[in-house]
Amino acid sequence: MFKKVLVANRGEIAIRIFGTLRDLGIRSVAVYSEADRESPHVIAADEACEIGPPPAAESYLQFGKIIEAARKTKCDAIHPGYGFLSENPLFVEAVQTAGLVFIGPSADAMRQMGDKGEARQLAEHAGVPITPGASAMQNPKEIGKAARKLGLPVLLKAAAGGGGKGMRLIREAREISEAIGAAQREAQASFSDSRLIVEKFIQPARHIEVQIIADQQGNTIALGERECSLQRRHQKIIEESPSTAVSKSLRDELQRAASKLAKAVGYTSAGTIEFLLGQDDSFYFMEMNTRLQVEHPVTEAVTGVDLVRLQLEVAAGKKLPLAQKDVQLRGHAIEARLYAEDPNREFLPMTGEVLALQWPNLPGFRVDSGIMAYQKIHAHYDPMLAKLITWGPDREQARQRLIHALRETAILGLTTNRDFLIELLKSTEFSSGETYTGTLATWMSERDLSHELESEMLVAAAVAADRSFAKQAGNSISGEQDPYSPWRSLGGWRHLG
Amino acid sequence: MEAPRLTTKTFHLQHGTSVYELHLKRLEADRVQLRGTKISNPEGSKALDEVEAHVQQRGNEIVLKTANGPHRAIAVRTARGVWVSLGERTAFFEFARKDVDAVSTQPVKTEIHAPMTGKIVDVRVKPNQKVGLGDILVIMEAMKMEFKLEAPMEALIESVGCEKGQLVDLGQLLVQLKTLDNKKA
Repeated sequence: MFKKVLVANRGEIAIRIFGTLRDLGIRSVAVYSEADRESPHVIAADEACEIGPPPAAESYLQFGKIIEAARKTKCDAIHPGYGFLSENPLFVEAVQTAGLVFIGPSADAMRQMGDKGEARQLAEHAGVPITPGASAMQNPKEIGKAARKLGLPVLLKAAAGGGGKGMRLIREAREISEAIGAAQREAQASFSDSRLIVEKFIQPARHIEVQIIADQQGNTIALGERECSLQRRHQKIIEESPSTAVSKSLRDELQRAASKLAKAVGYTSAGTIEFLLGQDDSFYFMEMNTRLQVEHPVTEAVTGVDLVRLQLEVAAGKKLPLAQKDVQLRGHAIEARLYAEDPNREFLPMTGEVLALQWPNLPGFRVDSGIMAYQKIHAHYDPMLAKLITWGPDREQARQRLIHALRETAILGLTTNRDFLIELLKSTEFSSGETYTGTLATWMSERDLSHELESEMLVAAAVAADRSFAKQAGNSISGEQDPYSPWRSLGGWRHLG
Repeated sequence: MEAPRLTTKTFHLQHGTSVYELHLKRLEADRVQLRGTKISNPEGSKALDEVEAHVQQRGNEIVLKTANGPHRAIAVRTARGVWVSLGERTAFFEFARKDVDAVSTQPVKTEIHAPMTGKIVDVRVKPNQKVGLGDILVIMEAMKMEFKLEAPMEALIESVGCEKGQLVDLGQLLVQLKTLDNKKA
């Protein structure tokens, strides 16, 4: 097993990976940009190295600086997390050339799956159904033509990557050129590649994905599905496992298709195969994410495995400790993503300082957080602050627990989507389990925003506004008594950066 | 025990498009009464229900007991206003100008400010150009996502304060608009 691992990431995912490394007795190294000197992931590792200015392109995307940091600290492997360099085959090769292990799939598998056009062809050859569509194109006129030929509505996607970047839905002909322009600019900015693919937009459909993990000995197992139909800006906000729409036999079918595709590219490590599921149980391959997913904790909650641990083990050449028949799904898990954004202003990302922070504590609850009190949230990085995950013996109990958990969560100092998540979890749409990719948009348009503030809220506001009140109560500095402050849990961890 | 001092303080707190004029009266050291008015545009003003509460404040925690039972709020005061989280709601109340009348007759928004720190991807308008409601004025990019800033009304572009490729800060003035039917000119 590895002795020391560098995590080429920041925020909650870096902290989550450091946790597993600690469990395994492996030493950890963090990297950070100038903007992240005070960030929690820096103190969650045994050592830390500064790698450059705030923009990701000058720090978290710099192969050279990251590999240099790994060498300097004598690491034997690099975990990329998600986003940043996690799906860049050139990075994988650079890591291997430097004599280090990349904790993830091979550059080849990544390349084949990373190009959406190529991945579609691969799936077709492997006998996995795909959505009707057109392969990667550069010329905006050709893209427009393909969209018209396919028949609206269509979905534009960046050929080179995922995460909702460069994705646009076109419903009407007059939107075509504007949408192509915007999608190509986003694709260029995110992936330095403006090619797009066009797909027929299937509706109503659910977004269902299958988690797989494969070792170097040729064993591939599937760890059930996750449903991620509730999305805004084509980015997921609530994910759950299992899906209310997937029966035992459909799960077997989906898992077989996912494993088949993974095997077709000789895939190793953790990966996710995304499908669109129609109302008639027909499903279509969308794409494969060749990395650990943001929403992996719901799978961990229902299967009991630590996916990062399995990633580390298979990267070190070990055989998977469990076979497909050992995979049992138990209960139900739901994850809500807490973002610094304003749901009432088209989910605009918000920046600011975390002035007060409180996490709940209840049975079946997990928080993967990347923030701490007094931290500044910059515009340089993804606005996701934390993920809240609850488990329950059934979906309804998991849902109630998540509402409870969010009610007892407080983040003050910047606008977040916390209130919105509570409202969404309480909606009849979510509680019924009838969730499709279009559900959120419809629900948003019909949502009543005219709630009056409770009088208790106004009392609290007036009391908080009254300086003399706080003084008399003998308090002025907030946060000091916060029992959930990450500083409290620091214990014996050292910051050597 | 200190003798209670019956002091009343008035706060003007803006939440969204409403301003709350709140009179906080200290009945006892740990008991308050709140009266007030909510002023919104264009609905006008409305008296709020009077409420009495037992209050305890510890750090940023405020425990209230009202006729509806106990409530626990988390609150922070900043130079600009107060943040409060209570149950399922989180709100920021900005300290508003005392002149409540001025708020109720708020002029139509004629300035477009950057809603976030980011980069100007495109500027679609020029000074003296006429625009319609919803026309795209400027496209911004932040966190690798694009945002369109649209005209909030039919208007004439008075000035443009940004250019393509420029990095702008949150709140920076990007475009100034003038109403077409310019009565106040």
